[in-house]
Amino acid sequence: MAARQRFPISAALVLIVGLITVAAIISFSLAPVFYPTRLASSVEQAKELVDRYLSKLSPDLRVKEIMEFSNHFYIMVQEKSTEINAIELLLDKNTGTIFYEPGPNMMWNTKYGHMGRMTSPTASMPVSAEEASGYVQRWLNQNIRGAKVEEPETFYGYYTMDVSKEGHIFGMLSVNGYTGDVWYHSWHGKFMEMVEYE
Amino acid sequence: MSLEERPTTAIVLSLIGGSLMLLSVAMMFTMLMYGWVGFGMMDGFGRMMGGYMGMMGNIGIPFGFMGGLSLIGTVSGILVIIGAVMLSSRPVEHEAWGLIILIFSIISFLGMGGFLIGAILGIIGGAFALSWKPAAKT
Repeated sequence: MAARQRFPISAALVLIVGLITVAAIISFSLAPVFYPTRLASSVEQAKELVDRYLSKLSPDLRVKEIMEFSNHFYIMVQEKSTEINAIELLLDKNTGTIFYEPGPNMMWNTKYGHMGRMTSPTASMPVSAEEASGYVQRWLNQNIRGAKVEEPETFYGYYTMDVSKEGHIFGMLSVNGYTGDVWYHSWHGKFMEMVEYE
Repeated sequence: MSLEERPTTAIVLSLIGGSLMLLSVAMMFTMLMYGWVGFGMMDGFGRMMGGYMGMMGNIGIPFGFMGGLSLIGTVSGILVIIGAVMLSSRPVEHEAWGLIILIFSIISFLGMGGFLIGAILGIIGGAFALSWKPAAKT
């Protein structure tokens, strides 16, 4: 009777259920056996997955460019009707999961972003594409010697541009179209391959 | 033992600890969803924000793993609060609920641990509950 009082059934149940839940979460989060591994091991496979994803999202969106990085695939999505770049997506190589790229795509995108969408979003911004390139080049000169900015891609509210060194792309930067703020995409890893789609 | 007699210190510490665990998890979810964390670096023409702490693979931690840690923090926070509430309503079972508070406070370190302070408060609360003795009748 005393033992029952010291550790009652309700407490034992809470303890067991809690421990099982935590163990299950750790297993699902970490164990490769729970992942459908290598779902997207090539740009072609990534394109298939993203096309399927976009068909559910909007009929007006298409893949413009896919870049393979060591950490994931980067996908630039364009509006078919306006030919303005709409969103930037990332595709997890191990799970095939597609998600909105964090950073400028979420914070600065005035049409599809998560932080204050405009009622009349526009790709015509106070900071021109040339000025944006200039800002990036100045930042590169100060921080990454020998790096060169490539052609800017215009999104709603910001520009994104590749950066190269000795003719080889190695990364990506975005510039706010209203403030000129520069945001380096530090999360991609090593650049591997790029395919553009007409 | 009178009805009013409870391990008050243990209950309060555990409740605060559990609440901090849930709060830290809510913040973690916000960061995961919106990528709000960046390192500000001002220069002549604008702000350079380089990288996410624990976001999307830049330090090799996948999104799913971070989400899992957040869930562990949620489960731990809820169970620590349940333990504190049960400790309050059934102080006679203080050893059982104190153990639960202690175990899940330690586990909560995996999921941010309520900014660490929450987990530490929970551990102290659990230890107090385990060692609590009702005042002897006179």
